[in-house]
Amino acid sequence: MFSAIYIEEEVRCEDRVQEILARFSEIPQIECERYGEIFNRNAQNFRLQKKSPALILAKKYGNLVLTSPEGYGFQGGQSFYFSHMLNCIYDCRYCFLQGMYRSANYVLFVNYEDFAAQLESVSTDSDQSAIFYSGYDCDSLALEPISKFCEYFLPVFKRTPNSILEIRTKSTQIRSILETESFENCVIAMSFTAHGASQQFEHKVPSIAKRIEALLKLQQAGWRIALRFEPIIWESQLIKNYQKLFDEIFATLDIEKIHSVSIGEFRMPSSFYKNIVKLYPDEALFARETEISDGMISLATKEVEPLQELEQLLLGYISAEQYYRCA
Amino acid sequence: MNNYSDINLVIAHKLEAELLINWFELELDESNEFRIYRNSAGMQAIVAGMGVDRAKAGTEYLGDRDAQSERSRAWLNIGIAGHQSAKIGSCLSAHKITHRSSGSTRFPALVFTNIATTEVVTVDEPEIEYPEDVAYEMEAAGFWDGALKYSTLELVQCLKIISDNKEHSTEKVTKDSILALMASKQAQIVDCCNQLQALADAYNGANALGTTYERLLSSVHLTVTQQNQLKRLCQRYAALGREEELQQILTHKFQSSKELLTQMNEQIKG
Repeated sequence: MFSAIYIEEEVRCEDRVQEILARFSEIPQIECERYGEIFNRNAQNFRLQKKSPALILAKKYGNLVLTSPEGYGFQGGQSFYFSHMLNCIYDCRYCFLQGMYRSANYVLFVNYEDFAAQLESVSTDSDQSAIFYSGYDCDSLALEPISKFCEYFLPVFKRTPNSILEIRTKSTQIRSILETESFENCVIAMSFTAHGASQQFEHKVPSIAKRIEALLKLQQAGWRIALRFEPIIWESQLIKNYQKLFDEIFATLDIEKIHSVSIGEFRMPSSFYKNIVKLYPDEALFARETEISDGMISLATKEVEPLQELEQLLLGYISAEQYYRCA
Repeated sequence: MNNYSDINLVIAHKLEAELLINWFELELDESNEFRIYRNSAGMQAIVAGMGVDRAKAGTEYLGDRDAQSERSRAWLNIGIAGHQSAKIGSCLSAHKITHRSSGSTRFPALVFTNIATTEVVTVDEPEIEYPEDVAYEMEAAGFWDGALKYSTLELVQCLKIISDNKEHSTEKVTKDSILALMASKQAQIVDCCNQLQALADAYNGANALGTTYERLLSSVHLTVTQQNQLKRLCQRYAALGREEELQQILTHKFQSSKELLTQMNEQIKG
């Protein structure tokens, strides 16, 4: 699963670290001072590293809970995000992380207690209910058997009911969630693209059917679920393809109980995009015409307001109150 | 045997190089400052000499020779080392390289499968006490620092074959024993070269430009910026499966570089 495990000297003796090291005793275990020695250095190639990524166990310092980018999530309070992990075990070609980080190695910050303390502090300081997103710099569930993220953080949010946790994922690693009694202020948000795009761009990601099945199990167990249709990548049969996806999803799930549904166009900071083009000059997605607005790059389309058409289609399945457009 | 067109070997001693030269059908290509060998496919080997400075200088010398090449090359340092506990004849790839005198560390990416790894400590004088459970040798840190100037770090690797340890001191290491050790590790060295060449192919393949690019480049005068624009346009046509259109563009006569690039930009939007 990993080519190696790098361990910051400072966390070597932590129980969480020892447990992971014991599980992967056959993999080279290499000590380092700080994770940046491996993760942030120059002359790395994300694409080559993705063939055999390593796991880095580290401690995160400083601001562990950050204000969310504008338009990241649903309305309903102040919003923040936190990242116990950097990078993702999946290999989605459209992912902005490829352009944001130099390394494809996974960094797991193991000082969960520090995250919890800051989450609770931010929550207490917020005038209104605060929303915390997990899954901005990683897929929060995908490494659950190793990270035990949910096992630790679900109880943290259960005891802070004025906060909402959104776990954004494409993973079907839901066992530890199902083993926990559901509570109101946690939303598991599954991301989807249409079938063709999923097959073309979402490498190593569980199938759409498996993801829907996971959502159904969560919903039946009383968990609040959400749907994130992003990134929307313009294609000739966009509406027809999404209609098929919507039919499958909404025929399976209890629509009224869905917390929220969003649509988001493929877009990212142009600096990330430039980095990705250097990594994947042979990728058709990045050879397409693009548009830049306010430093953000998106795919050009000849259609007039294609997103509105998709929204209209979606609103045939759900209520307007359940919907928001991701900025 | 594959000919490993994109691999540079860096070796300290002629003795360590002897069998590699034979296996990979390398022939002497230059014997000025360093002895450099090359085979018909393009694999190269340099005998850099002992010590961290010679390793760095030799690696840079070889790198500078290929500075104009469009293709990126993989770098492999092969040599013998001592180790506190590893068995004589173990073939290990470096997962961490520490230069003892400076204290600086480097972390090679682990790209080889089916090979054990070790921390390597590069020393300025032979280490015969083996105080830590690591491999001791005299070149890896210099090699690494030199090679990183020319390549992405995934393509820079060190292989160490253990020639001595606490039970088998350096005094027992002879010319014949080194040759025997190297010979016994042929399969593993070749396997590592296969894996490294595959990575180099993946890297270079993604950036490859066809002959059409060369022909367009020679059709008009382009500034360096325009050459980069042309390169990216050719990559985009190829990525979109529209290479045939480049052939058509080639048949046109363009009065200027600007006209060529404008035509290509307009057409790809269509």
